[in-house]
Order: sequence, then structure tokens, then C-alpha cells
Amino acid sequence: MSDLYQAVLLDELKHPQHKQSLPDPDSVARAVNVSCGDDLTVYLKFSSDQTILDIGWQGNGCAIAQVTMSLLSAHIQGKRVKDVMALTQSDLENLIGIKQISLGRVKCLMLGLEAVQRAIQKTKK
Amino acid sequence: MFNPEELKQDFPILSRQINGQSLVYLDNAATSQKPQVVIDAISHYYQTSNANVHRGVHALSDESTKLWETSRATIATFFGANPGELILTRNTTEAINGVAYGWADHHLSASDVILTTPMEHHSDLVVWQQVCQRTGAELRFLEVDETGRLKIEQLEEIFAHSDIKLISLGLVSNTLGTRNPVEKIVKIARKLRPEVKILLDGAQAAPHLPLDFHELDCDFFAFSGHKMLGPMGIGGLLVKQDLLESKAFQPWLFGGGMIATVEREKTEFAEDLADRFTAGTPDVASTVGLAAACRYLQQLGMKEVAQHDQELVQYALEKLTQISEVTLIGPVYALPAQPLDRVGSVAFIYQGVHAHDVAQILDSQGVAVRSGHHCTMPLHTQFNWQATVRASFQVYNSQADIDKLVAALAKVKAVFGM
Repeated sequence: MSDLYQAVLLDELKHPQHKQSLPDPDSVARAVNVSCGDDLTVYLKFSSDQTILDIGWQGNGCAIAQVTMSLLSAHIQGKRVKDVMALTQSDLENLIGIKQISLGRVKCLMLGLEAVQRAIQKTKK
Repeated sequence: MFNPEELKQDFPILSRQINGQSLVYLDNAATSQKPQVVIDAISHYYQTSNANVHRGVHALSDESTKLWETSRATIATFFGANPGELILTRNTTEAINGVAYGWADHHLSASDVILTTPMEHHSDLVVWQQVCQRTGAELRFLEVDETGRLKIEQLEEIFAHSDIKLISLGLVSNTLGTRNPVEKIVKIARKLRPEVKILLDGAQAAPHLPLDFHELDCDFFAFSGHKMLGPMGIGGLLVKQDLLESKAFQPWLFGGGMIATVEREKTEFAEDLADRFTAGTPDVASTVGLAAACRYLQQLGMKEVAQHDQELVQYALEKLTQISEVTLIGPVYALPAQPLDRVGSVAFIYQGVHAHDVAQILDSQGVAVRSGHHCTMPLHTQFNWQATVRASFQVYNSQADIDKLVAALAKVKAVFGM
């Protein structure tokens, strides 16, 4: 728990990165955690070389969902789409510095990535 | 009057340490803990009496059958019902599904109305949505006001404009804690339309209130054993004897044990009511465990249990209203000249902090509460609550537990720097 709500995460919560919608995005996707009403929408712009040019997000959620979304946004900007699609739970745990998040919070952790990957998938169709 | 701190000794799990702190278990509306007598009853059954019921002549089968029958009688009597009126199920959800398949599917059609409320647990809502899809019947709602109470004054008006065949509602809301005025609703319904059927979801009432199935005058009453100190996987549906005898209510599970005679092409069902609704091998051990839980509660006295719950609810409301970040949902103050109509739990929103984060920080202090939508999504949507935190009580909870909850809430404020 001391891990979970350490000062740096709470600072991230108060000053989230990329928390805004993008004008004219290439793709938009939403992910919802029905068990608690967390609701994130992700906006993506891609470069011609298959990298993430820009990302924005909006929505509500618990501290874990919002902080992970914020750090993930900063992390994937400029990354190759292929690498973003390969991100896993343990990558996110490393990103926010939590070892082995409790089972009940996995969905909170994964919500932002779910929205990002969904947005990428949409463009492939 | 019993002492909750002394009762804690009867529940082995309550001596556990959680995150280095003594466990304060306040998630009883989800499931209660089990006293040693219930755990012992189950393991004793398997150690000494295990055999399948009815179909054996040997001593163990006979013993098991007797245990099953006496346990059924104990459970039925706990609710003021005849043993023949009790159909054992896995839980409340399965019991309500039983009414859908055993009664509603046979009697409802297009233009018929099922009346329920927006505060129902999903188990008492999703089932009826499905019945409406199958039969063409329509679902209507007796609305909830801002204080978390039913707008009962609208009931006669709804009756005037709908062909209500079934009313299904919870006696106590698992989210708002509201103790619904089911006696009034039953009375109005019986007066306006004597043939209407009434189902009460007793999941949150059974653990806390003295109940009498015949006095309630409902047709169906559903409950779960695991919320009333019994094991998981056992619950029941009480059905009025005349509905069973007239065969208006029919079996919905078929197979061994529930038959009188079976031919190649057809089957006569058992006349014995307990048999007719028990298809397949019953969960005898859990039935024995639930009977032990009923005896435990009876020894405490259900009037005393109810009084204890009222004291906890009042105390919790009093303490939580003093925290400026906390917004309580459901009835907080009694209506004029009436006792407070809230039972079993208090739920709230902590301003600025998500319910999951609140619950996580409380857990770090050893306090177990539930966060989320508590299986009442339409209610949360209606009042625009993303998620709520719920503390719910049992006989072993004391005012000291609520003090620990309040102290742990101070930690939320500290962590989030508010």
C-alpha cells in the first residue's frame, strides 16, 4: 500500500500528463471498468512511420487507473505502434513502480492500455 | 443482550491479522464470516454421516437423510415457514430464477406487468428482464426518491394503469440500506389485486431481522445462507403452500429424486413437496451448516440481533456525518414518528477520492469494506454515483469497529493530502 499511494503517484494524479482530447485524432477508443465505473477515452495521432505522434486522454477513474494512464501516455509518445501493442501488465507495474498489484486492482491498472490498444486496433481494420 | 466483542471469539477468521493490523470485517452484506459451530457442523457431517440421502437403506444413508430433513425443518422454522414450503437453492439468485422458471414463465404473457424497483440487486432485476424477453411481459418500476426511499404513494396509481401480475422487491436494499415498507406494499397490492404474486428478496434482511414468512404474506421469499453466518452455496426459496399444492408453481429442475414414477416417455413428479423441488443430490453438508447458523442466530435472539444492528447503523451514521468529505447515501434520518428505516449497512462517497482508493487505504489499516456499484448499476446511474464505499455489519461488529473505520478514513485524507 505504501507503494501504491507514494507521493510521486499522487503528484501524478494531481498533475496528469496528456489529459486532454486531441483535435482531429486518427483514432479514438474508450475502455470502461464496469465493476467501478472507471471510464477512459484515448485519442491517438500516428506518424507515417508507424509511431505514436501524439496521445490525449479524458475520463474518470480511481488513482491507479488515472496515474497509469498518465504515465503510459508519456511513455508511448514517439514509440512504435508494434511495441505499444506488445506492452503487458508487468510493463505497467514497472512503469508505476508497483510490484504485483492485487488481483482486485489489475483491471484498474490495465484500463488505459486497453483503450490505447483498442484505438490502435481500430486503425488496422 | 449479547456482547459483540465476545462473539468475535466464535469466529476463527476474525483473529487474523491483515496488513499487520487486526482484521475489522465490515463487508458482511457481501458475505458474513462463519462461527466455529457452523464449520464444525459441516466437517462433522463429512467425518461421521456422509452418504447420499433417500436412496439407500444402509445406516449412513438413513442418518444423512434424517440430518437433511431436520436441518430443512430448522431452516424453515427460522423463517416461520412449514418445511414443505422451503426449496433449497444455492443462493438468492438461484431462488429468484426459480420463481422465473417455476412460476413466471408459465403464467405471464404480453400485456402483463412485473413491478420492481430501481434499487434492486441485479439478481432481482436481470432475471425479470429475461422473463420479459421470454414472455412479452413488461417491466415497470416503483421509483426511489432522493433520500433512498420508495415512492410508495405512487403505487395505487401504477396499479390503476398496469396489469400487474408480479411484484418483486428487496426487503432491505444492499446499497442504500433502506428497509422497504413491504408490509404496506403487500397490503395495498392484496387489496387492489388479490391474485397478484409477491416476491421478497430477503438476502439483506434475513441476517438482521426477525422474519415470519406467513406474517409477511408474500408468495415467495428468497434468501442466501452465506450472508447469515451459514456456508456459501446454500440458500432457499420459500413458496406459499397453496401455490405448491395447486401446482401453479412448478418444478424447474428435473431429474433424479423429484419423481414419483418414470416411464420411457413421461414422468409423474413426486407429491412430497420437498422431493418435488429437489432434483439431484442435495448439498446436505451445507444444509446442516445453515441449520447450525440458524440455531446460532436463534440463541442470540433475532430481536436482539435487530436491535444490535440498529445501534451499529445509528452509531455509524452519527460518526460518518461528522466527516466533511463523506456524503452518505440512503436514509440517514428517520421519517417523522418512525424508527430509522435503514438496516445492515452504511454506504457513502468520499469527496475527491475514488471508492476503490478509499477501500484500498482502509484495507491497509485492516478494515475490509466493499467499493464499487454493489450490483446495483441502474441505481448508481440514476443518482450519478460512479462508485460508492459500503460498510456492512454483523453480530460480531462493535462500535469499536466503526471507530476503527472512522480512524482509517482519516488516513485517506492524509494520503491524498486533502
